[in-house]
Amino acid sequence: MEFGPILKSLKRRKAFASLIILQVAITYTVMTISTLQTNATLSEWNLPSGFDHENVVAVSSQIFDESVQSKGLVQDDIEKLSQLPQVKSITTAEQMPFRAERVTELFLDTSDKAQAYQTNIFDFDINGLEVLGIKVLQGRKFYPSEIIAIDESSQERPSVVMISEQMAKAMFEEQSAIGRQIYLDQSASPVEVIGVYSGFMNGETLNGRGMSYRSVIRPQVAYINGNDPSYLIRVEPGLTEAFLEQIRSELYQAPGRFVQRVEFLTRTQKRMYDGRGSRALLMLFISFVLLIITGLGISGLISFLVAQQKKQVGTRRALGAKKWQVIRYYLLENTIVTGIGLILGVILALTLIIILSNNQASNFISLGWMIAVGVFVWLISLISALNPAFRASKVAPAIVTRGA
Amino acid sequence: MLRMNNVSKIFQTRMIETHALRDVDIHIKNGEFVSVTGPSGSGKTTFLNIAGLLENLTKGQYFLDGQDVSQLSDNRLSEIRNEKIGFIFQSFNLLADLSLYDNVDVPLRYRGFNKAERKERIERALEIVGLSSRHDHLPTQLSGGQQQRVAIARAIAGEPKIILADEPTGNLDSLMARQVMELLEKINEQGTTIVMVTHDPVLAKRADREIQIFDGQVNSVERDETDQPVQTNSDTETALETA
Amino acid sequence: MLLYSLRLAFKNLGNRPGLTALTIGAIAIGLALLTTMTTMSYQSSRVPVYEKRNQLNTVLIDTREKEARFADRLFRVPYLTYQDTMNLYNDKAIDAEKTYLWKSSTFLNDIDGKVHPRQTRTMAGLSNFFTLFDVPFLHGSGWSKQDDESASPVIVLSYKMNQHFFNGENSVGKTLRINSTTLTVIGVLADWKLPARFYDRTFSSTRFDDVFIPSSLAMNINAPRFIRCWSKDNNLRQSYALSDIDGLKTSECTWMALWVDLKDESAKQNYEEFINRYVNQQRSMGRIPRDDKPRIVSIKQYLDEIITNNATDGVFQLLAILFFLVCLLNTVGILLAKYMGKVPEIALRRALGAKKHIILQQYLLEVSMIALIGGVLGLGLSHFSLIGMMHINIYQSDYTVTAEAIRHLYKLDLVMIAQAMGIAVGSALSVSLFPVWKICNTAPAGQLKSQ
Repeated sequence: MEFGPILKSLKRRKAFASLIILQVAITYTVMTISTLQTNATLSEWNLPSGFDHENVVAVSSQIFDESVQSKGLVQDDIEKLSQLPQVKSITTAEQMPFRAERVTELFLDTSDKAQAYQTNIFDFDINGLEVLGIKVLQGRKFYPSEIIAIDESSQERPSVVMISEQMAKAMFEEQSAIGRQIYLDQSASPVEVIGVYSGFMNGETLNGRGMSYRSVIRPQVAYINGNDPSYLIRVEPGLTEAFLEQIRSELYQAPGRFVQRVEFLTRTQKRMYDGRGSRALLMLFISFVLLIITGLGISGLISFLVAQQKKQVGTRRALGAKKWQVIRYYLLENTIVTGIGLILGVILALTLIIILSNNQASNFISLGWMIAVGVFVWLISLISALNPAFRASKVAPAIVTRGA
Repeated sequence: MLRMNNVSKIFQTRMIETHALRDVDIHIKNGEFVSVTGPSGSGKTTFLNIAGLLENLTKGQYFLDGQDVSQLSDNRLSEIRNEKIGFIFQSFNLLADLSLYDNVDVPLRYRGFNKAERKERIERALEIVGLSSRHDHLPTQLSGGQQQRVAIARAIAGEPKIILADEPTGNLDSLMARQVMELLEKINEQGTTIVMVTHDPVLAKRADREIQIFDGQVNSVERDETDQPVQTNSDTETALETA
Repeated sequence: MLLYSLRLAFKNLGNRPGLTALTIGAIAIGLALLTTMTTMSYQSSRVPVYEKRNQLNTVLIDTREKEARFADRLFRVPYLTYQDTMNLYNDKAIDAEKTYLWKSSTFLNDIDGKVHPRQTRTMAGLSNFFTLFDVPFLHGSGWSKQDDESASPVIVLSYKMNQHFFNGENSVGKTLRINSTTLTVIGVLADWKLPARFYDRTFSSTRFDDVFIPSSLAMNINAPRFIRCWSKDNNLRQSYALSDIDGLKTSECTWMALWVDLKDESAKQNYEEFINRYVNQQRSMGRIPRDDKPRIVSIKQYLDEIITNNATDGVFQLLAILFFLVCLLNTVGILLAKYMGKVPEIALRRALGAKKHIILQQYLLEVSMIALIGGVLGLGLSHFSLIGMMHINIYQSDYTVTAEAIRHLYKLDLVMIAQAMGIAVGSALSVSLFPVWKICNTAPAGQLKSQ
């Protein structure tokens, strides 16, 4: 290999070497920052929903007229909506998949030292499991008698719950969860776990903490004035916006209420990821464009150098260089320059990341990604150098005997 | 050392065929110092290119050091150039970015010598050309004659069997030209075959033998004690030579 | 001579058109991204109520508990408590116009239910809100001081809400309901192009208030409040926010913004001293556990602080600058390579008597031409990429903001165009000046010889 001579010859062409070095360094910096940002932003992104969410409609509405009684309204809604031919099944829903925000801590006992298990509690009526179409893995479903309707005055609370597979694993590991008592609230009576179901995506809050599928289903319907009536509806496949509009107008038949949202869960899911997703992807896209520009630039620059060095290449060939040795020379030269650029780039990227992330760089920096980006930039740079290097190898050695 | 049988080189463009060499027969013996002369465009350079394996011949056979080299692969040709041939060019063709030392080093690296051997050879070669004190100079810091001596060092460092020199003194003044010439003669005395293309009739006559090329054809002239005038091919006008 | 140089420069551009296209393209793309980013930040940092940006000040008193982390950013300083707002508002020691307000969310509906109700961002404030903040009216006007005192059932609609409920007709005198309370429309705003909703300290630039009602009325009808509470109050937060307004008034929960019109620096200083005295006095009464100094912050100061701390935009801006830098290096590198190849020619020209500056001039002309063409193309590109960014924003919000509401944030104007062209030409010239100077300085003799 010819590291020594290449380095010396690069020293003689500092201007061009440094132009490429700077380009590589900055390109690497941009790519690294975007990749790390994207990586941090897109962690736990676009995970599977865990259930057939395609044909489920989510409805939320709010009552603004204090004279409207919640119980009657909800019962009317359910009856009206169930009669629509497209509706297969409907449940009241407190919290919805993809947008559960309220986090509850579960306990196994009432002591102060008891470990807290974070979860989202979903209140459904008897149709809940059917609407979501989730499988019961262990134990049984709820009996109709176990569904508890609560209002301002009622004291009775559900005594049984079902928990997701992932919740069961977190709380009981390999042991069976069926029949176990858990506390949804340390100051109230415990509830019994009667079934374990395959988990579904709960929402951004727990997703962000890596607990995407932890949930509890509680058989409870609340008729409390001031609560917002919300429903999940399983519908026939292939329905369009027009159907949503139909639901909306059905609900507006009852005065004193605002229909906030009627949408397919696919849209809820999309919204869950979109905000962070589009920004991160945009950043990635920008850095790819940059990489292409850098690649073209390197290619152009080396082409020029090769054109100027034709005589040199010819001389090397005359002195015994084989074609592949000429190619190797240029690729090696390119690798050295790129390598210096990458080292500079690592320094620059780390500096900027530390400045930008207010000393929280450690949750952000990933050595694996930094190396991967480096290798990638190097590969692109190598590919850019390939064409000019091949052209150089085709220089006829006879060029050396041509006049100056 | 070098034998060409019926070698022809034809450059083919869309419209015309140019016969750069026609049925050339040449035999150069081991240890000979041969000069090649001829007017511009006569085919001297083509001859040199073919002799130096820088170009393929169109027809005929070419034996270098007993080996038929007319059908070899590009890689093999590179190896032979590297091992058996030393080149000296009119415009020196030093690599401007590299120091003297590194310039001489270039063919040795392709040869695959280890570092110690390269160092020894480079130093010996620079010693022979009288530039051993200037290892780290760059070509641009040297005079033309010095540059050509570096090129000679580069040519001899690999101890080739044959040195092909293309107008080695063409860009030099007469004093420097004489020094270079003396150097070549010295190398020849060590047993290296030298083929030198030149314009200069005086230099040409210092060789053991002079080969004249006119219009792609060869006319060999043995050097004579009486130093008789140059014999020309009958159908070529001498006037060309002064051009 | 200039003409000759110009001709040579043009000839050079036509030489190897692929590379010329690459250099122009690189400048264009780099500039487009940079311009997109700077335009977005420039437009979103436009100062609302520009004429009064320094004289309208909001009062910040950190009344959180002692253990809370220091509020290093303005938005972390809580709103004011009802007590502090009233004490300061009613104080007559310093002669300055004051107004207070708070945010609510209500449901606007018409009595006969013909138009679908809307959830509305609601500003609850005082009559002088409209005059102090130069709010433009299309129909009618704001309410009177009298209405403030008597909690009159009046409402001012935004342009958008008037469109929704009354098809844009003059609705002054007509009635609408907020939740179940009937109110009379007293004014309709013109399309108020506020760069940022500064007055409630959210500085939102995409979502604006839908309706404006007197604070006294809003309290009477129990419009929900966005409040933050600490320690013992926190348990009652829900009830303070939704029902128990009297409890809220005596609590340490925070929810109100107070603005003071301070015409000059000395008035501001005076007021600062006054606030300091007030806070100290409150502390002596056992309130306000933290010892952070109270602050009065003008619109301008507030906005500046937001801009300098916008981390995400910061990253984007930085990437855009680095991106442009790479494109610039790219272009300059290729141009220099082109000129390096011409060193012998340059040397020859110099030997033939061309002066150094002529060659320099020719190079600089070529660079400028490439930068200019790249600049124009880049501006065209940035126009489209701004539209693209706007659509991404709309998409991100899941279509809850409209193009009309945010278009102003993505508009190129003359300032931006001039800046972009300046950057393109200026940076291309400055980056290449030194290397070109060096090339021009190559001694003619040396170059001729080494060939």
